[in-house]
Amino acid sequence: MRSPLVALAWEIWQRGRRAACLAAGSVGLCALVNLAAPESLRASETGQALLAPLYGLLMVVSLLLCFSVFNYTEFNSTREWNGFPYRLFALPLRTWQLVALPMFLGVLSVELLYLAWMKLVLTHEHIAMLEWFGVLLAAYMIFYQAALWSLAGFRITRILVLGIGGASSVGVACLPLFMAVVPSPWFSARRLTAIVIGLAMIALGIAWASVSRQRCGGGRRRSWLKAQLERIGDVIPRRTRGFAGPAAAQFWFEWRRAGLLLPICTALVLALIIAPFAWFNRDDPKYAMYVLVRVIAIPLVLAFAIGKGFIKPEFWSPNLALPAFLGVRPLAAGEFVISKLKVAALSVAITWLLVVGFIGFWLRFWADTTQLEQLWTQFRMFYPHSWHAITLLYLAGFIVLTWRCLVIGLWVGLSGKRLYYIGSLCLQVIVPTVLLIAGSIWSESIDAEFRDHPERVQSIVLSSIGWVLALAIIAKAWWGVFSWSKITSRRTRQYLLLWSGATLGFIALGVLSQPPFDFNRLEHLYVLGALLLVPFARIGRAPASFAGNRHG
Amino acid sequence: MKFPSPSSAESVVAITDLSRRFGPKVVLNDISLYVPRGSVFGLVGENGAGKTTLIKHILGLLRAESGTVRVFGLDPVADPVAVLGRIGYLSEQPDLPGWMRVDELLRYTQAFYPGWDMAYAERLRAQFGLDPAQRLKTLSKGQMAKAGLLAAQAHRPDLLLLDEPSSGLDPLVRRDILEAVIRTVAEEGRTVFFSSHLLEEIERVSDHIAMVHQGRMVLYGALDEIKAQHRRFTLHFETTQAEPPVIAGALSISGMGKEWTVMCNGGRTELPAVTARLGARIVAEHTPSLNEIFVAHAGTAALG
Repeated sequence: MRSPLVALAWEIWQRGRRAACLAAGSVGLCALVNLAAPESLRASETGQALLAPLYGLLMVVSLLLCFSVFNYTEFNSTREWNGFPYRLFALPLRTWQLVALPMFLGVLSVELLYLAWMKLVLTHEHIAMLEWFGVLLAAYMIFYQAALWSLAGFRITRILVLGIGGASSVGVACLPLFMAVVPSPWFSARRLTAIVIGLAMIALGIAWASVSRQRCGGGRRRSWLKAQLERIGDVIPRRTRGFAGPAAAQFWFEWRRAGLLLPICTALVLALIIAPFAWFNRDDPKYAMYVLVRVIAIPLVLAFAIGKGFIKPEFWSPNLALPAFLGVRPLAAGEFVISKLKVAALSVAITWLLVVGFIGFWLRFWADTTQLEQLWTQFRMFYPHSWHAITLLYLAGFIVLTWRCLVIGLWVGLSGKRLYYIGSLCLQVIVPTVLLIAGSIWSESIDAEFRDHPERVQSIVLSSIGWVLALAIIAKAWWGVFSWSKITSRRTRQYLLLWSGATLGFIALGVLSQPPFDFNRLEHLYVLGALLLVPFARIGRAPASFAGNRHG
Repeated sequence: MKFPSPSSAESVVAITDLSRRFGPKVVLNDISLYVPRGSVFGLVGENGAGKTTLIKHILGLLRAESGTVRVFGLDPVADPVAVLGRIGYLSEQPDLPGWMRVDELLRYTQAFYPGWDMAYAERLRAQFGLDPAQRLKTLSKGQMAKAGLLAAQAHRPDLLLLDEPSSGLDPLVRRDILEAVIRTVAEEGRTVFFSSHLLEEIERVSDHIAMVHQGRMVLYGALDEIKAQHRRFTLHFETTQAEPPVIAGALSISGMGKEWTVMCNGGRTELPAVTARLGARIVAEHTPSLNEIFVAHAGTAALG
């Protein structure tokens, strides 16, 4: 390789060749299906209903894979950030060359992939605004890389920017469709294309400037906010006493790493998003229920997201391997897991105290509770004898579920196996996405089936759910016995007691909150579901995962 | 190569026929090793020889694929708490949590070791010049190594494991670490096992050594005995030699013309007769340095 640019391009290929092959393979597979399927099937409504979800899903996956290939970052141990590969700064190349090459290749690849989907696979689909989507994909690639490099020192901000950007990208893509509803020149595809290209050029400039600054030793991640937080931390009195034992020390360690994250994030969302929203809509009674539902959902959603880091041996590290610093502590694997479970429990307890406190404060001082009071009265009339218990059990249930979101994946995260970790993440994202896509595609047939044969469908669905739940319980019990067999009987008894208490709470909730007229006899489904909610087998597996990680 | 083995009762570490692969690469190949109680044991080898992998097996951070590892007579994988409770460990790059402060590190570590000696820890901290309120991430590399050594040593472990403790450190810090190690051993008769590719360092402090080359043990025993067994001879030939002379049992032969240097492991009595047959005479005899012994053995292993 005589040219350094060719060498860099080769390196990008080497790093991402598997993902690139998978992306190309997805197009190739669909193109073959497209070729092999008879014309009558491809043109028919049934055929399109069958093939469209497959094509749509694989197209999205292949585009994501393409973006992953051009995630051109490396961990910089000096700066402790994941940004533009630092080692490349020593190469005799201009910064604009270093920046432009991966961007150019990224844009080229995503455009070629898009073209392949359009010309080889989606030949029978009528897709409007082909050029608009092509421009958008190229711009997204530039925005993506610009965000990765420019925000290298701002880990959380970058996650937020990429998350919000990714979510809003669908909305931006649909903007020209509003032209039919609101005939504004701002929705014209031509004008939007010019704006997007302009923004992409600005992003390119920002990326170039950021990388240039990093090349000269700039772009420090130590922000003003962080410096102030550390200053506050220095002033706050610190623990000066020794620890009662290894378990207490490990609890302190885990707490300092991630214990306060869930309460802080919850407090921030409540203070910065929910409270202003509730304040601005304080005179509209219909928003009270809307706000209440979201306030209750916040800890669960945040615990689900934070749990992805919490289940790793070290929350803030991208590495899943157990750090030697922890690995050489003379503490049994089970005790490490227990310290994590305890930290999660305390973190969740503080979070829910905050949530309950916020709800009380909001309802007392500025919420319009007209609608809520009506619903509350109905609820009390519906369950005249058990409404106290149901309310308390719901609160306890939400607390347990929040804790579950934090710890359920410990057996995967502590194993140190990236494949398991990524696989479980993908399952949690892909399965619901596929179900949603399938649901939306076949929604009409499903609705029709429900309309035409309601009893038959109901009976099939309910009995299927019943069987699936029963089988899941059998699997859970079997795996539970297997996974807890290697843990001390004292710990097994302790956790079994906790599990029984929480599960009985859910069963009681299921029994109490069944409708007074249970025509469909759903009670048994509630009970079966309650038996599955509190983790047992997977928690029992966590110490073995930890030990596997510890001993290589 | 088989080496003499003391009984496992005398050994703090007893490794038998240990092999380890990472994919197709054999990192440890049939290693047997015994570390006598109360010794300073130096593990020598070039970068990538398998030293860190061997130490990880002793710590139980890697499971033995074949062979056995016993530390204090226990399997470190099956009983990590009992084994690690008696070990102090400092790695080449101490991965201490940067968010902790020095005093927090000490209190945290103290909780795991009932034998923690606070007065000793405080003395070492003062000696190393570490500020208790300083965050670990703000320490220099040398200070980080000192903090790691402090945390590894303050519970007076029965076995102190140091993996390349002085790699990349300046001579002053290196001396601090070595002095601390020597003092600990001299005062309390405990065992130190440390790896390094700095052979002068090993030679200065160790009383037993093992030499690993490409995953194989090439030399093992008491340092004095090893040095006594090895000899470097300077031979003078009457005529110029175009090719190196062939001497059976020589570890290495170097030189040119009429002057050649031969490194032998034993065989001192046979060499005069052999050289006479070749038309040469021994003009000088030296005790080689550990560095020379290592180079000679590594070269032989590479050829063999």
